[in-house]
Amino acid sequence: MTQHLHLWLIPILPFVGFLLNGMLGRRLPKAVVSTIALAFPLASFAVVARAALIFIQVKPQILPWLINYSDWINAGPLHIQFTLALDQLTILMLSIITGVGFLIHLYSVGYMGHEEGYWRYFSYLNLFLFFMTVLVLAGNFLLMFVGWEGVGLASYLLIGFYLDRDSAANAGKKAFVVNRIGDFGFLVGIFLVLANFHSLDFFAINNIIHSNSGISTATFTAIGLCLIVGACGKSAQIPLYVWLPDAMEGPTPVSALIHAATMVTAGVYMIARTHSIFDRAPIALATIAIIGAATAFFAATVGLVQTDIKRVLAYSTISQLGYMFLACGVMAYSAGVFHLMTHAFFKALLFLGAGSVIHGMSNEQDMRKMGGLRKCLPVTCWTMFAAVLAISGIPPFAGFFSKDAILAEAFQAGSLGKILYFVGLATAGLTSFYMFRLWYLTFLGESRSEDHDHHPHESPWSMLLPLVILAILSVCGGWIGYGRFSHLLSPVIGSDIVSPTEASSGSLELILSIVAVAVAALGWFVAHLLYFKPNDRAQKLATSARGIYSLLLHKYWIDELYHAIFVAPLKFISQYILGWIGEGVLIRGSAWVLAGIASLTGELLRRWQSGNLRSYSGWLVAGAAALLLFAAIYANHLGIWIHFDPSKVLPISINPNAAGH
Amino acid sequence: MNTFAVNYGNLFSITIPETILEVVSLLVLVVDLGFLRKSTQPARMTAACVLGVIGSVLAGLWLLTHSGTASFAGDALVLNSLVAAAQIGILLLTALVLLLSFQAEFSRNPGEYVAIVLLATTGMMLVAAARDLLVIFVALELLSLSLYVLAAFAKSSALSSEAALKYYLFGGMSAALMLFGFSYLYGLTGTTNLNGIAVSLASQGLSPLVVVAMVLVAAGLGFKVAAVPFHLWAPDTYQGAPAPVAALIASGSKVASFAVLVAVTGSLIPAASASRGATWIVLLVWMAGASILLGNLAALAQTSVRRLLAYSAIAHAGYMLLGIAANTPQSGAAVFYYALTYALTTVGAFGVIAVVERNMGSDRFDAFAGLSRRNPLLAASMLIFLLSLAGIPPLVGFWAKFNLFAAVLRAPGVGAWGLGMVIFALAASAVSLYYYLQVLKRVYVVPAMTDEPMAVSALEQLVLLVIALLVALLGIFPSALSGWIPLG
Amino acid sequence: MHLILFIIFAGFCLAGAINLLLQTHPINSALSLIVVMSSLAVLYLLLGAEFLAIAQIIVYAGAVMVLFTFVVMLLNVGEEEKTHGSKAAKIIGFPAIVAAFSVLTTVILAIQNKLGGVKLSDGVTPMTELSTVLFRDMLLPFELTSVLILVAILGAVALARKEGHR
Repeated sequence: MTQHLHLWLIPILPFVGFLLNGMLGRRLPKAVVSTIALAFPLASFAVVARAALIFIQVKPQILPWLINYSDWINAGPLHIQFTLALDQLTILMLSIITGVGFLIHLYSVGYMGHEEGYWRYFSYLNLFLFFMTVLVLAGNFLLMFVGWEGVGLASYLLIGFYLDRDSAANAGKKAFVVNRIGDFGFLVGIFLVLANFHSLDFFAINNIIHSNSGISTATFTAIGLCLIVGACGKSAQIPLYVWLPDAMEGPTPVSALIHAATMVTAGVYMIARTHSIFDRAPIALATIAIIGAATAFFAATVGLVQTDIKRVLAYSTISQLGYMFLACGVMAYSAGVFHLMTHAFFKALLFLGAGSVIHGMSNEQDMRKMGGLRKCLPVTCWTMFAAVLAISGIPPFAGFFSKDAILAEAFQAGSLGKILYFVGLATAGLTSFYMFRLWYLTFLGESRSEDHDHHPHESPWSMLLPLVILAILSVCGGWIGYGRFSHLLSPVIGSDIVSPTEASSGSLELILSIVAVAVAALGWFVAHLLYFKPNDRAQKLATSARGIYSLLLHKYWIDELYHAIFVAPLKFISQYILGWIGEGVLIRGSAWVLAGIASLTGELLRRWQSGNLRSYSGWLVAGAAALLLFAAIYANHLGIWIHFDPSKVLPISINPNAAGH
Repeated sequence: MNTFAVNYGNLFSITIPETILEVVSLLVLVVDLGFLRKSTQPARMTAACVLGVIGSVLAGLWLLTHSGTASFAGDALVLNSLVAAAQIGILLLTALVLLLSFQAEFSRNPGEYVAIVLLATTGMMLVAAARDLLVIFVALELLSLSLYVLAAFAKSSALSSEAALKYYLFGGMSAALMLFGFSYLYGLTGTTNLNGIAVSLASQGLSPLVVVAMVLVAAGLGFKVAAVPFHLWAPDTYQGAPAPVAALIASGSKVASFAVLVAVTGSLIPAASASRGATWIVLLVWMAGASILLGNLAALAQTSVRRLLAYSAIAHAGYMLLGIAANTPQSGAAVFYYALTYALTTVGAFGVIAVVERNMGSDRFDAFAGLSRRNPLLAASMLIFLLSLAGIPPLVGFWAKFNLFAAVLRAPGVGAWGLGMVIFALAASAVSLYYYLQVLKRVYVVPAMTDEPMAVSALEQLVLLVIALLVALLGIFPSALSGWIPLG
Repeated sequence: MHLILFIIFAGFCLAGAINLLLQTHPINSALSLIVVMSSLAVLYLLLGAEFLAIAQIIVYAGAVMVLFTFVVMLLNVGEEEKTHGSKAAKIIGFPAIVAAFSVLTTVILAIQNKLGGVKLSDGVTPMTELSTVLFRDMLLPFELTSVLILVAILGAVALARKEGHR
């Protein structure tokens, strides 16, 4: 029955949806557009579900299941096949992508119902699913990279969806360009892999690594560090996280799908997928762990003071991704993936809930103007409460299990791990604080909206159904337990190097859990004190620590810093220095005044005299002279002048008789 | 002295595609000036372009059915599979340029226009196949002279004559330098044949005069491919020349020039000893590095799409020069692949520019505002072209870059320097996305000044869509060309 | 004897070329060009290329230059106006020319003694030799040149033709 399982259907189905809506959508009625947009991802999910049933239940032993569709690139020694691969990790990712993806499509039907360009939105969304499934199904680096860049493209199109907003267009561009910087690292990593392994196939590379090919640790480290740059770009880690908060300019369901549940986790997925390289590069691993912990803490602190509901969630996403990085950095890949899964549930829920609030409040995103929405939006309020409990790590909600697993693994991973554990623990407290702050500010208290005539309304069923389903998942998603989860994934990402602190005692884990829950409860308590009832405690706190408050509110001035360090100098060089050399006064000349349209002869002769042309020849000669000098010096350096044997140079002769050979 | 020992009979038999083009170009003149003098301007243009397209297709078909490894006329011309691929590519590009010229209104002399385009194509094909200094020089001059004339064809446009004049003067000076270099090579080796030169140079070592000759040749060929520091003509010429001509300069001419650069490199660096060619390689690498840096940085500040494409062309030339410097059969093939696919994409981009210019009278960013609402298909094509130029998978531009850099890295003797250059090129191409997005932002986001649809003929629309489709499909099936351009 | 003649005419050639550039009136420049062409013809003759020398005189110094002067006179082009030139040409061009010239001179002086010489002689290359080269060995470049001339003519016609403004 595996023969009848067509893996290619999984990406192709959403792609067909993209083509149909993209080409015909403009002329189709909305109902048809929605049907197309929903049916194809659902069908794709069905294929994934069927594959999952077959492989997990019936014959897990034949995983990984590889299908080579054709020779893709066949360039001499470079031989790359078009391979789709299915294993436990892929199945899990695909379930999240198509499952949560479908729910968000469904939600979008309600949320985007009034937007112009409805068809365009859905075609982009389907395109995104296509690339994302390609990324996950890819059996080699190159195909993965295609998906990797493709999701970036889809994300660019979707962030810039609101055509009339200039800020949206700039945010899309920023996301694309920052991601390109990450992709550059990824691409360099791919070239390094190619140069060292002579293959790009994940499974072939694993075999080479396992057969002790004698590749040095330095090589592994170099490859690992390059891949980290790529992962940092896509998963919004320090120093490349700057695009994600801006990406909130896109429609909210896009933030839920792309910038919370799926695309941004691609970096974590990539590290897990290539873990056998990282396992042999301790420095790269430590880098991941430090970046992850630092990002988690840093983003959480920024999240404390933001007032835009989506920005809080964006920084929270960055912070949670930091946790996943931390897990990968201590070789607890399955803990990272576990958190990836639960995070997909509760963060998608949070974004969709926020979307529901924004929808109900007629596009108000500032939490200072919300409040008291519990009565108007009951379903949104309580589903979001479940998500808040989950992300804060309160048992028995999903986030508790995965975050606990990460912290426990970090604690047991050497001294660096112990330090990072405390960073993670502090972050957990902060997370719990700002999430409850968000919930209190939005749903409790009295309405602070200036617009008193407008009454927030609960969303239609197509938006509520996904909320409810995701809420159930946020509650129960972690019950499978870390032990069983990591056992399930162990054939794929079980570390093949036994870490020295493998044996851990149950009592230690219990203590760690209790500590974590206590810290989360502390965060909740502080939030409760400050925000449960209207009071001025938060205000006082902000004034008493004005410096820190301002620093956090302005996100540590990082955007401004980047602009000053990278963007401004580039623009300066390009506009002034190169502009001056290339097209400024020197080339254009002063005598370049065109007196209307003259006849060609006159024109020609007039221009012969223009200083402009002389400067042209000046530059040409300068170029040639520079090359000549350079070559002369270089050749001299090589010793060509000395070793030159002139006796072999033919005499110059113009007589054809004498010269003929 | 080479003895080609050919008579007119075998000369014609070895240059049938070129002869077809020449005959058709004369035919175009006869038909246009003889029979269609009284017809309307569009009718004359259409007739001339149709004939031109038929000629290119015929020549291409002959090549397709007769390609094989062969060398003719005492090695003055070779026709191996790579050269055939380049020639067929050049013919395809010419046909596309002519198809996009149907609507062109810049000239009152359609017959001469098409005839000269065809003669320029003849030059390109011969340049790609030439393996003899004399033939290379004369063919390059044929190509260049035709392009100078074509660039000046829009006589009512002051920019056009400015572009042509700059192109001409710069070209003339570069050609003089190159000829000077060729004369040194001939003097040192006693032959004008590239194989002969390779053999002779291998036996006598690298003399200072050879170094001088190399620099001079690099100046000439560097001009043709618009590599720094011989790039100054490119922005003005790209901006001023009529759009189809700019497309031809940016596409076919580039393919031909890179083909000859590959051949010349092969003879200046004897295969047996890579170190002897070190100077040539270092020259190429420095030109490449400077082109990549300057092209990408200068493109950031442009507000005219044509100038932007010109600077990006300089950067792309830099990438390809890296491939040439690697000097392996794989990297040579990768350069061919890159040049051909790049040329195809560029022709498409200039096609879009031509339409926008005809409607808006300008190629500045503002003119592209709201294109996606005024003509979604055109906008989608532009999206595909520019993203392919930026190297976003799965478009063909990505494969070209990947293939090229992989080939560079696999070349023997590529050390930390080679890796460093590749990393530098990758980083630069990451930056390049920024300026392509500047255009796309206008196309997709900035609202249009008017909402009336862009007037575009069905033929143009069709041709542009076909090119866009090719760019996308070749990206999805990168090996589709591999039967044709051996990728290794 | 040959050497003296060579030096004299090479000098003429250079002087004519420089004068060509310095003259402000097109007619004077054209006349200088004739000097250059004729001196070149003598140099060809000294190298034994009799036919080439004659062709040079008849075709270039004769026909082509007469055409040149005619065109200049017909168009009635006046004295060139002196422009202030370009800063770039002065700042960059002159040092560059000096540098390029020095490198070339250094190279040639360095290996001067080791290069073969050219023999100036009365020997005459027979016509048959030349025709063999031109019409058999070099047939392809030769024919290409004719296409080149075709392009030049076409271009000249197309560009020179008067065109009404639209």
